[in-house]
Amino acid sequence: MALLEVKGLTKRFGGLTAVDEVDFHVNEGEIVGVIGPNGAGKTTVFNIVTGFYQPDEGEMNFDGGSLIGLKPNQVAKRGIARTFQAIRLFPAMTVLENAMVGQHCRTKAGLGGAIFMGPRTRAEEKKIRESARDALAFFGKRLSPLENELAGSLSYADRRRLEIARAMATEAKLLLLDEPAAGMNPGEKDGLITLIGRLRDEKGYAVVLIEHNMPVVKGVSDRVAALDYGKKIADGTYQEVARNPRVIEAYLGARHEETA
Amino acid sequence: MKLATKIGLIAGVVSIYFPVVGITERFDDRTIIDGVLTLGSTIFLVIALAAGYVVAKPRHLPGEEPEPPGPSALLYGAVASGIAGVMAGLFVLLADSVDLRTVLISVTGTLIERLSFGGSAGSAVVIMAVGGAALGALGAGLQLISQSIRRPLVIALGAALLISLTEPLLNAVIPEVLSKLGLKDDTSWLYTGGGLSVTGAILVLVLTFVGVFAWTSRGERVRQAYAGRSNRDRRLIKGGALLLLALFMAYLPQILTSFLSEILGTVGLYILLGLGLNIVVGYAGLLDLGYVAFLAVGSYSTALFVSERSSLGWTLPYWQVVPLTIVIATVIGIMIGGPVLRLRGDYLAIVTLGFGEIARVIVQSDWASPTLGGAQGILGVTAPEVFGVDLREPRNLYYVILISVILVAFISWRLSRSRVGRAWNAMREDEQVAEAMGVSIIGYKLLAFGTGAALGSLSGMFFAIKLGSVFPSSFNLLVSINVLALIILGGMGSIPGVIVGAFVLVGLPELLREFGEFRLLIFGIVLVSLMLLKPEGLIPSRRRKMELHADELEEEQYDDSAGQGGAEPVVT
Repeated sequence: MALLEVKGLTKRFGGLTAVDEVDFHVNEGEIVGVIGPNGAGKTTVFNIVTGFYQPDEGEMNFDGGSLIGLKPNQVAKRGIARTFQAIRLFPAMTVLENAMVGQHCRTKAGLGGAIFMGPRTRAEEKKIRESARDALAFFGKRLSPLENELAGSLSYADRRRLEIARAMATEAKLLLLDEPAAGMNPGEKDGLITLIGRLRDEKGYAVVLIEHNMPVVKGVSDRVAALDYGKKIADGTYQEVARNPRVIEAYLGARHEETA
Repeated sequence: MKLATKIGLIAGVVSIYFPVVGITERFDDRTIIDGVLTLGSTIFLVIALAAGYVVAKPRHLPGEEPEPPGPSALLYGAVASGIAGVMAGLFVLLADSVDLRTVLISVTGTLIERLSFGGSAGSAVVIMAVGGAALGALGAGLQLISQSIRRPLVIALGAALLISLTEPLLNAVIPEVLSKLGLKDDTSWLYTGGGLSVTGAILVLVLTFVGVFAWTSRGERVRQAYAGRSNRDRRLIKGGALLLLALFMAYLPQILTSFLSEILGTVGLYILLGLGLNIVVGYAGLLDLGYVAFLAVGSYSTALFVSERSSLGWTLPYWQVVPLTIVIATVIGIMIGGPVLRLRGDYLAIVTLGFGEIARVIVQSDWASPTLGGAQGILGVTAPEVFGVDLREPRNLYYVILISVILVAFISWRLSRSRVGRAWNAMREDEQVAEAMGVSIIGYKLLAFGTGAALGSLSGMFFAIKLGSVFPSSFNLLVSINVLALIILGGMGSIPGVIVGAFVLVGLPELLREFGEFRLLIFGIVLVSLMLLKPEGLIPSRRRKMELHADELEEEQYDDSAGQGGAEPVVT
């Protein structure tokens, strides 16, 4: 059974139908690429799935329960974590603290716990710290040595990495990555391809990524879905989608020979 | 040269301004160093020195190494302060020939005589120009000597000024300390004629210079040794230092005059308020301008249950009133938080501003006055004994406030480094992302309002007891603004910042009382210069510092990446 199953998803903003009866699914341990021109509704789909928007129509089932009507924090607790198109870290918190915030939805110490620091709170705080460090350690020597630096002082690529680490720290089953390769140079993009592959193979995450960069999509995706004007126009392996005439017309245009 | 002219003109205007509003004449009564220097003259000295100092300050673009100032800086400094001197001199000449008293009532004959140093007005121009230029060059010269000497020198001068200015306080306290130590309570070695004596001045200058000099040359090693210690050792050292501070604060009322103890109590109340609001504004980032409402809730709730003359007709023991008041305040805090959950930043500020006013209006209204006493307030809030401690005794109240401050500071500190504190911080940084990470925005906003309200009401309880009565007029907007200002002044989100901020913002105006009508002018100058020099606050938390200097960091980063080009290692 699919981990995430979306059926007939529709979202209208006034007269504009941003997402129009989109169906898609993500299996466990699968990497799905979502492509489409700017304004095709890719990020809107992410925002609906993560609870920032409520859909006008459609069903969303994740890991055996519906996502309809849930708030973003509840969606996070169910096991979906995301990154943002424009990097959105907590710039004035340290690298470690950023990742520790990711653990928020898995822990529950409240005001009393914070003030009295009883044994349970101490144990929980230790667990938060360890999980956050684990998430940082996934990036080898990139983030761990910087754990006490402020996130805002990181290099661009490290900020992207930290965003992924923070999402991992939520102990999610499904990661939604919104244009993770944006602004990266070719070398960094190659690294990203390896990284996303490792997310699936080592950690067992299912990943959905929105990406404009075709080599990255080709390099990591088990399956690719293409959106245009809010509708899904193609679905299948990268080769199938890239050969689909509607996709070529909508997105790749005349230059498809080069990118395919 | 252009800069020198500009600074010179500014300094000139300033040095004319002070005599014109009457400060010079008034401050001449105040001795800085007995028989040598009055406060009035000190102002001119400082202006001339500062102008030269600023002009000679090395300027550089971000990223560039600052170029050490050459001897030409001396010239520029002299020019700047010379210009200021000429301006002041010309003003004296003008005032001497034309009667300015009709417009500027402070420009008296004695003032002109004073400013022309007993000679003719014409000689004043020469004296001021030459003297200004010399001082300006001296100020610029400060930039030429090495940092390790300059810093102690400037600090020593500042310390001498400060110690002289606080003479009325210290001169009352020091004899007490001396006699407690079994020494002769004679302070003439330090203070004579209302200011420092010559020996005292030299003593202060030398001691501070040597002390600061030792610290700048040795301090780095001490700091490294401290950083090299294990976590546990560092915690012990820090804890020990805090304990010493607490003991010192506990001992203070034994040696202070009652006036000073009184001020200390007021500062304590503001620290409590500041710590409470710091949670709402500094931690959670919710700009609340109606915080005075919780002071009111705390005060009125206490008055209502404690005073025999309140409308209830019955009273509760004080130890029951405290938790009850906290509960009431928390509930009201959450009630106020509820409607404003969707608002952020400026909008939130305006709405909470309204709530603060509503609280006052409700108390004054006909509807509530049978219970809360309307404009007459509630009288007779005499807190009886609590566990055998009589709270009416100011000294006892001081201890209770001190303990509360320590307690609330501890709670704030624990919160700041807990899961709750992180959630608040994340929410302050980016509400949407925090929510995507699982932080319930509604829950944590209400929690912040509730906690802030509970801590604020604590201050209200002591406020009612301290005054012995409560009136609606005590709870006006200015209190909210003051509390917010002390947080910003001390450094948003920083607990030591709140404490220092409260001392500066609440304590300083009280200490400046001897300057009468100029009190608020001086206070204003201090505040404006503090905010210009340290926009992140006196003791900023690390986060806050980062925020205000984010642009600089950003620039550095560009430089970095430009330098490395495409050589950035790949993601792994």
